[in-house]
Amino acid sequence: MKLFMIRHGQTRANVEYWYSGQSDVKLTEEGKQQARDIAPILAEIPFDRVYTSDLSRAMDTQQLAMPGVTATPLALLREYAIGTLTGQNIAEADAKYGPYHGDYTPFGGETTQMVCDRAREFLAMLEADPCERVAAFSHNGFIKCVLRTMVGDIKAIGIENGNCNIVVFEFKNGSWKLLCWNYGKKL
Amino acid sequence: MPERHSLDTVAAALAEIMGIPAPKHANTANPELLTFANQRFSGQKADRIVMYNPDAVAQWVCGKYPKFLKEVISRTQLKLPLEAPMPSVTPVCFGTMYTGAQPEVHTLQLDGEKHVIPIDTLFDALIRAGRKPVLLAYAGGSLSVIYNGREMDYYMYKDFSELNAKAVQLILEDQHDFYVIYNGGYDFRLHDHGPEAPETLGELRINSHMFGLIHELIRANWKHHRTLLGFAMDHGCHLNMENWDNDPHEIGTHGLDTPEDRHIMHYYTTIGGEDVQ
Repeated sequence: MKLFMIRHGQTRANVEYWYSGQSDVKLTEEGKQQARDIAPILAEIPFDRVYTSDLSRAMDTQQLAMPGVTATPLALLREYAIGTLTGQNIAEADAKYGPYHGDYTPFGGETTQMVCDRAREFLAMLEADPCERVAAFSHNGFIKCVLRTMVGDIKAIGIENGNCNIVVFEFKNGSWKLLCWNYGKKL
Repeated sequence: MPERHSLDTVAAALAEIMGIPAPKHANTANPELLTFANQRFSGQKADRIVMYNPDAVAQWVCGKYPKFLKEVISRTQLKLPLEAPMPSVTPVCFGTMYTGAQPEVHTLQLDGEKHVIPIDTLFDALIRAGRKPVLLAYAGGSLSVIYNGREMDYYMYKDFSELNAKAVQLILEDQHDFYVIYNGGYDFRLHDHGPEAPETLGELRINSHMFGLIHELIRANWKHHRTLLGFAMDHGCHLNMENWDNDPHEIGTHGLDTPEDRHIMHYYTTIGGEDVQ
């Protein structure tokens, strides 16, 4: 089984550099275009299942990247919950409260372990419903936690996962691994 | 602790580990690195080498802040003390690392001097032997210039996170034999903030996690290879107290003939060996 995880398109939070967490921030016009730009890549792949985070930036990305295809919304695929950090400027918040080391519980949010648990739950759900190709629209932090479940307790903090980047994982012989980090992209 | 040799002993060791002749001007191969690889690979040669190159991470920094290098220290078995050449600056030291020659031979002898190295390099030796090296470097930095002009693949980025994304992709594609992955974030922060500032140590943490990620990806995807993986910096650094008020961009620096600037520690591990046919 191959799992194609697509990060949502650009949002105002990405441009203005604030924490969006699980807020329902919308795509910018550029974000919408980014989603349209990957449509030809995804059109070539015969997906058996399509899922999306139920936050609008992921859902809107999915609808623009796969027009006419209905996806199943899942709260499991949401970005980190970061509580009262939501809406705060990233640099200012980091200077005031950081470093968080993946623990947003002081702000009413999640820890990295909690998000990795959601990632494992999602992967287990896929394993219980075997098919060949799955698309899942999600968020940077969640996608990196999916990777983290496969490579041990290592933070993928030095690696770019841009808006509408497509990461491919493979489930084979009982285990998951990373297959491709920038599917369809010429870097 | 192994004996401290010059950084110029690494190139010939890497060549021998891959079973190819050393670059023409390289000094003697590092005996500890050779013994390590020979033992780990049971006398067989490596068919993959990945050199993760941070910048300016001094041996004294590694010793004082091991928790920021957790993924490196826990995954490597050889801690190799080395001495960087003089002046202890990036182009000079990386020039020595991949030629095996001292600065007066490879011709990069000054800070800020960046020209294509005219002598035989490890990359030339690899290409002659039919291997495929690849170099990922910071666009406009030393490594994006000094090894140019060879029949090999180059990927240059102004953003280290993009560079690392490409490095991951290249490892997954497994089309090369020798990988140089430059991550100079520590040096970048060092000059503005000093060697022990939170911002600078944060870059060390990124270096460590990237090394860990690369290690895991090699373990998962290169089971059929014998791989040497190194965390291999160019030189050290020091806090520039005398210049504190004069130049805000030189709070941390390097280039001196001191243990802080010249003593470095490379870390090496191997992946694959017993099970590789």
